[in-house]
Amino acid sequence: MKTFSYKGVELEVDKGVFYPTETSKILMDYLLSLDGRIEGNILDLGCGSGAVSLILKRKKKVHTVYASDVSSRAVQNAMRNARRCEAKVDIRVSDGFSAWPSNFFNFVICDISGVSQELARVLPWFGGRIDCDTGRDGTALVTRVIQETPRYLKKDGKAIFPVLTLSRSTKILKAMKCAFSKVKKVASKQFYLPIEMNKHAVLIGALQAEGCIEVEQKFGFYLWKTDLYEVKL
Amino acid sequence: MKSSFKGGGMKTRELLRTIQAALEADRNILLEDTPDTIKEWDSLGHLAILVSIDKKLGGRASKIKKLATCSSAKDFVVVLKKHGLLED
Repeated sequence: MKTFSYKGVELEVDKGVFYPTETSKILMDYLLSLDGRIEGNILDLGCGSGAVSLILKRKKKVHTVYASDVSSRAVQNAMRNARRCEAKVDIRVSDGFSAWPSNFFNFVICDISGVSQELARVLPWFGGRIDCDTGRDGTALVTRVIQETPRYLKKDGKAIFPVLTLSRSTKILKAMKCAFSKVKKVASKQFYLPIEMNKHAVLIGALQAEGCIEVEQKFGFYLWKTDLYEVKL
Repeated sequence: MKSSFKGGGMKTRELLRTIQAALEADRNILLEDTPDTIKEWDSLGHLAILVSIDKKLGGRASKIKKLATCSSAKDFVVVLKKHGLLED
């Protein structure tokens, strides 16, 4: 078991549960910046150990935080963290939105895997243990959730999607523009792959050549980017 | 003011300002500064420094792998000077 600490949120992260990444931190920073603009019923889809849910509990106008993950191990982990923080969060096992009612959420936060499956298999973040059924270009899961999200939002509902260049980001952006009337980039940050990923240069080169990912080789690292999009019905 | 250094490099003072801006540090950066003395200088801060320096140098720093392992402002000076991209 590892621990995670960020902006006052202290979590335990069980083995086999996705450890919150820099993308989770971008999401948390953005949510904290949304004073008065996030309220009602909020869903943390792909909650993992519950980091985003626990940040949301700090927002005064948030009525109820709901959270789900396809992994029962993650849900148990998130429930334990919520109890430790004395935060009331409704947490369920759910494949996408399957456990939730339609037209219910004011805000959906999707922190689900959008990384090329081939890349995820060798990325140390996934520890080789976490199922990542995202397809070679990393878009399968995210685009499915993007298409389903409008049905679960209330009128004027919003959602947030991180889009990583470790996937075919243009395809994900196109799916967002089809599903929502407003698509706005609200944050962007550049990162580098762990140095040990340099030994997978052949795979990374092949994925890049196919357009499945978009990375830059600089300073001896592979650089990639997360863009955060807020979308509205 | 545009640098007069042959090859279009930068001056040490400009480098230190670039590091400060990249880190969004609230004080001036000194040659002795390291990740231990500037709280914003974490791994992502280091990447921000590299990207900013590369931008200032028109993409000529991106192939210098040693920049990734610099552990002080002075290290950046030494490495960039060695590659002819920095003057005093």
